[in-house]
Amino acid sequence: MDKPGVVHAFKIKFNFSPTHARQTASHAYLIMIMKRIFSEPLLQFFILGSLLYLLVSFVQSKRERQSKEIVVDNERIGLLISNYKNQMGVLPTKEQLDAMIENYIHQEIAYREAKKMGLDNDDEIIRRRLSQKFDFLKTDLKEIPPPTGQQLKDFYQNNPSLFQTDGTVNFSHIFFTADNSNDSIAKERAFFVLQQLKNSAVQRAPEKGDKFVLQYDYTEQTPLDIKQSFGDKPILDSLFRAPVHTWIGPVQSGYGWHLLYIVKRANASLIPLEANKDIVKAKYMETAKDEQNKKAFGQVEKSYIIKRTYLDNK
Amino acid sequence: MLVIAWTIARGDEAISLLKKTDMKLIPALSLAIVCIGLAYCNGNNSTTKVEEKSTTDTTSAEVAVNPLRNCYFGDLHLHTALSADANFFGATLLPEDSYKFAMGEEVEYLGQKVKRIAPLDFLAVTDHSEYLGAIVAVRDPNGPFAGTELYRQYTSKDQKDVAKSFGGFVADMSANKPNSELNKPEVIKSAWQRVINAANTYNKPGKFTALVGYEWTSAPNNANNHSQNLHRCVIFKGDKVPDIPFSSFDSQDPENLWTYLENARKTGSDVLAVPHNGNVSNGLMFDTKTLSGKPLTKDYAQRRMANEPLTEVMQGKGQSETHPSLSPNDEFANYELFEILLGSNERGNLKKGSYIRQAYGTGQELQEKLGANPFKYGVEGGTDYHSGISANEENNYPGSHGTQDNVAQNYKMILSAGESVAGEPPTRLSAAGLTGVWAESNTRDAIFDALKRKECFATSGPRLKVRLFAGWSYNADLLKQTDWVKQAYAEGVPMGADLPAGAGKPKFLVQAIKDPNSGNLDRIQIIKVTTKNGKSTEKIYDVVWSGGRKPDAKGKLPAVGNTVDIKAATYTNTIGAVELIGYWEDPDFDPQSYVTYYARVIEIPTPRWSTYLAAKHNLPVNKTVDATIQERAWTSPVWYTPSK
Repeated sequence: MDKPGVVHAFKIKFNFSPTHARQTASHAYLIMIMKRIFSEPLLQFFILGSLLYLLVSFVQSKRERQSKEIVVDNERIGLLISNYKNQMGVLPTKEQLDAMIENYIHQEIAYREAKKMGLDNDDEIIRRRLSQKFDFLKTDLKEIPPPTGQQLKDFYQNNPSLFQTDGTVNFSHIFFTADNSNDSIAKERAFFVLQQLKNSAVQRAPEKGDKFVLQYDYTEQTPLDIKQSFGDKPILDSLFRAPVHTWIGPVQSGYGWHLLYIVKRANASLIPLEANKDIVKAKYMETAKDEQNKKAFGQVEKSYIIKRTYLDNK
Repeated sequence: MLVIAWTIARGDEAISLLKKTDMKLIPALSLAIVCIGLAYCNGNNSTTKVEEKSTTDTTSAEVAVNPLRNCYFGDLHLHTALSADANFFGATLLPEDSYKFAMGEEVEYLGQKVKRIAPLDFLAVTDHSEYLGAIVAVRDPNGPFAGTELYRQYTSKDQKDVAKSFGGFVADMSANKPNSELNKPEVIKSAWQRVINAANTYNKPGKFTALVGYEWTSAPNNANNHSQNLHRCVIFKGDKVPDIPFSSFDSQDPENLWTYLENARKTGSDVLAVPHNGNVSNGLMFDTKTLSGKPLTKDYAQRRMANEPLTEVMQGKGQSETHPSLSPNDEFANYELFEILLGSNERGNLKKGSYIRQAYGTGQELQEKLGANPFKYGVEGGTDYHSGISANEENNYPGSHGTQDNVAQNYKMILSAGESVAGEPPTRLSAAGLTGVWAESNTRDAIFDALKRKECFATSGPRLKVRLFAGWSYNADLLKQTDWVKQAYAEGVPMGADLPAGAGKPKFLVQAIKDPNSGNLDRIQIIKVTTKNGKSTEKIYDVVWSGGRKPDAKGKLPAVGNTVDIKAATYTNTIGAVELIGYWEDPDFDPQSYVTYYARVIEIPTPRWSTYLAAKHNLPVNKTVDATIQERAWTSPVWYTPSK
């Protein structure tokens, strides 16, 4: 874009002065004319402009020459080698290194030409990549000091959701099958047994129902365990919601009808801190890093004015 | 191994297809969709970086042990984005995601949140060793291929580049000659290490077992240039494994794979191979000669059984138990058939060597001659999904081959697909299968040992439990006792074992317990394959069934009925049984014959996944597949050998 402009400026200059010089009769007259011409503001402006143009184009072409220079120095080679080693675990061979250098040169040329063509404008991938790079640059700048005993304890207490285990349930059940009869008869039989047990002290009575193919007593069952052994059926909800220490039912599983006696339920408990200090510490560090990174970004964000014009329409 | 095989046969057509601008959605596993998959994949953020993780302890002393063995369910056959073909299909999930999903966690698949209804107890991720991890690596902007022409080509959206990448892949697989640029040992080793690390990370003794494995993908071409599937999944007991997996580029001959396994066993963890999809092997899987054309020998038979005790009888690409043309008297034989050789429109040779029931007879015929049976296979079930997730529940099936059968998006195409350009249409893929094992605990050691002694069974997807015991002194009353399992072990053998010599008739105990998330049970059958003087016969006995049904004069048991409302895709468990348990003695036993006995459990009819899909979108069901299916389980056999 710049080159035609430069040529044009030269042309104007050469065409102008010789023409006038030939038309001059005497030296004095020439000087006078020259003076007159040079005192003409338009021409002064023109000459100054031309000089400035020359200077700018000189600087530009120098810069361009530099931008067409690709230096493959020892530092670059070291980077190529260490990248390769990180990926492969071994050093590249001579041939591989040569190929990597050629690739680097090719990539660099293509990169610069693409930039010159403005291919980086409005490219979502490049935007994303650059913003990722920035985020990466801005994160984990400061080493997080390991937490003290008290900090760890506070963190553990203030973030129960991070240390929750699945709820578990211990229960005994009585099973009523529809095999060799039907569903409503099985359910009715279950109701009948429930009436007998309701006000009794009995906590376990598998013999009052049918033979069950799996176990009669279960301990520390998580919701996933129940889904596996009883199916994704109403029994799952009952086991984790119904009152404990009383007979409830009949509730349906993937096998048939059940009466349940919930012996114990641990509703989503916390893992004990003492036995799990490593896990808590890891979570602490992770959270502290997150917070630090958010804070750092917040500082940068403050210097921006964000106009949410999409909200104006409402 | 869908695409690899598919491309072998269809390479040229694939490329010409690509060149066509008018690329309508072909109702098939079509290349057009593969291309979408490629575009989808571009710039994915997969990385081949490997984090070194310490090996998980597999011999935890705290794990409770049940000497009478618990039933655990899992998948021994699953592909992730590390498999070249899965990657071409647009799979982005990696082994870590596969394990999370199997354990019951939610993962994102093709933009959908997916989660199993009931989690699995174990999983082996088995990516193809050919180009293992190469496509992930080649597309990684920070990877070993960054800046190379291959990187540009594989990440390009230009159709010409896509065609070139895919076409190259086609040509390599077809010729079984790797592109040395793509087949870099350091890349494969790095991906293999990632597979090992992922399994070690997610292996939780007592809770969840993650096994290290991969798939050896041999599919030699026949004269018509159609691939003949001889694939084997390789499953290791521990993590002391060779630093590079053996591939079909190394050799297509299973005998050479066995050598690799034998060497691996000598220096590290025990290992076994599991051949799968005999149904699309064109008769090669259970052939009566070796791949190099030699007659089978006793040594071959013994080596084969020492290295591969199991075969995959059910998976996403259909069942390999039997075919209606081979078992015309088996009313349940017409089930989830997958008949077209991978990557072709050709039906393979089904007459001999493709199905395991027939092979049980062939094996016994060879045993009469050689003194050893090369086909004494136990059975297992897997998915062979190329999605990174073992999502095989009929009412919770998101598709299994990436963008090729994206159920959420292309349901109309999937429901209307009747025929295919190459291979079977995605509608024919099954939401199947699973392996059930009887093991003392849920640990690598216990599960692997169970697989090795063949005390395992296959299901078409449900967590349906089945036990089979054989002995000479059982009686029907035994089943009434609460400790019948203990006595059954003490007085006989479980599935997968040889029936020792004895007097009288062999007696069997069978028990099946339904999957609480699936249909009730229709019946348990015992299938018997008898061989004498070079001639084999098969016979099916109904042993125990639900309700008060009576066999007719010809001995045929009436059907259990059908409660499926196809339009609504619902069923009720008002028919069938929760548990079936029975005693049976072989009424036609001939002590001079070789016999293979196995049990098959049949569920009541329930909707097929394609029927659930149709109901969800209020569209007609696909006519080319069954609207309702009777899901099932197959046990590993018990074998009887006459004493000479």
